Amino acid sequence: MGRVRGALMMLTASLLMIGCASAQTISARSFPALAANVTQAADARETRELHIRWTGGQTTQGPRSAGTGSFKLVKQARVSGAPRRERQPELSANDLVVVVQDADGHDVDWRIVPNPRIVRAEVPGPDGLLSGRVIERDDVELLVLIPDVPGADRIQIFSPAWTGKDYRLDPLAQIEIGSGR
Amino acid sequence: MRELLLPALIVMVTGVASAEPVVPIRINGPDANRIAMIIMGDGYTQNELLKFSTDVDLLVKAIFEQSPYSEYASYFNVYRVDVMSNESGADHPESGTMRDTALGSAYNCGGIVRALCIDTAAVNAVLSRSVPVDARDLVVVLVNDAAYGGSGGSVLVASVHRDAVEILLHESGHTLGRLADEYETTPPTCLNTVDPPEANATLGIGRDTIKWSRWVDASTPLPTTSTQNGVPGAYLGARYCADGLFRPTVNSKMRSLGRPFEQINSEQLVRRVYNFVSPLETVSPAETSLTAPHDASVDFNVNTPQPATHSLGIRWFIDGSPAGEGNSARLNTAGLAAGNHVVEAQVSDQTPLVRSDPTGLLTARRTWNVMVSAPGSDDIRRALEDLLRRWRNR
Repeated sequence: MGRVRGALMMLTASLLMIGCASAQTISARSFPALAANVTQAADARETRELHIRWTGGQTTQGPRSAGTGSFKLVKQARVSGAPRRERQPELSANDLVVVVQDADGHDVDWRIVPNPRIVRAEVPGPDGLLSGRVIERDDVELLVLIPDVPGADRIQIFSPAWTGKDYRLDPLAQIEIGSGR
Repeated sequence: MRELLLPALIVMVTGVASAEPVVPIRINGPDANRIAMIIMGDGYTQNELLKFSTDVDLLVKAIFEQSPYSEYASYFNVYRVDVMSNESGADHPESGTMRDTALGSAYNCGGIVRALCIDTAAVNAVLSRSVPVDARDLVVVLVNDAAYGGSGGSVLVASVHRDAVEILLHESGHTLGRLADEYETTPPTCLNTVDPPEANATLGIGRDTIKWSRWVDASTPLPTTSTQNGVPGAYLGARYCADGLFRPTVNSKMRSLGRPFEQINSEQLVRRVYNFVSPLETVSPAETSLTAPHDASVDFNVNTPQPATHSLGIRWFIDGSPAGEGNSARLNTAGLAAGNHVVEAQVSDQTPLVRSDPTGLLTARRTWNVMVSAPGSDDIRRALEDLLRRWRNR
């Protein structure tokens, strides 16, 4: 935690108002294949912190359609330290998957990010038995942490859909992030 | 004066003027090998930050009193973020009461009076300003409002009502444990045509194929109709479905508040803890390739995190053969042939809380390659170095 001061002192915040590209330009993919074929960067010294405003559309509760909603990168910053690397990432339908690509479209990293739209509102009855709803908020900020790997040029955001055997990743958006410098 | 200064010294005020103080509450190891729980307050005015400190202490105590968190409490680092609000409490739109708070806490989220939501952008802003990127594993917002309330998702939210810790623990089952709800009521939508991904809900209940088969006693009928708590089986009704899906115990914290997590959910939570925390914490020597002269000894050491009531097993192997147990091992090269030898430390958690670890999360290994030189070769090397030094000094 003592690194906070240094990290924030070197933070190079920049405002980038970049609209999202159409999700129709990217295809659904398989999560097991992604996890097996793309290695998560382990030795990044810095992290790129992306603040993305996500409005409109539906993801999990209503009818799913690729590219619904609007994604806008409103701020990005470079901070010291590497983002958390899980030993064996386990995906959930409450997450999003972010794939980092270079300018040629090659995958360079990926991360699981909690889906900020999904809010579980559960309440107990008199005997403690729960009931609830999953609320989908339609105006949230998505915070994405990716390692500062060379060549990272854009991110693709996917919503996981359980097939009964594994997760299919349905495309939501592609966002140009540039070099961030 | 010393009593006043000490808390001030441990408060880490960042270099940005608007950053919030982050106060370590429980530090059990390096953040890189711990689950970092961040607790920030909302609806606490400047004059109520001492109350926030007390509320956090009570919350943390209540969380880590319950299994399996009690056993693995030392696998967590807990930090308090002193977020200050202009007004005390939270919004109650259902009664027209509105409060100016830093994180925008509001009841009646989604039209459910006791659902308490926050402004994710405001929480993200605090994280960005004040919390390192590797210390944001579990983000909790504690809301200074006496009315019962909470919610789950990317941020766990709970009011200071004494029972709200139970909803927070339940939501941690989703967020950390990837666990399903075990109640039957809809909404949300019941989907009982495919086997669900979660560890605590299943479509098929074959005795050998049920997900939690290692927990089911041979004498327990499947499906199970017992009403006795804590007996693993296959109980009809789970994940918003009254039919078609089964849960592992008749009741649990994923079904009712005030209940234990029970065996299958605890097992999954422990596996998920090990998704973030390696059982192998530090090693010595740090290098993976070493050279050692003949007739010497090389010491190896590993350290592990420490659960509350048991220790992790550490076994050593030299060239694949068992070479002892415990934190340390010594390699005596005198008995070894010249050439490369492999020293391996294997650490594993044999906790009775986990019976199935298909991907080996509870185990970690470290190997060293040790090049042992031939007898006499070190004397020759030293003689050559001495000769070279003399030649240079002529």
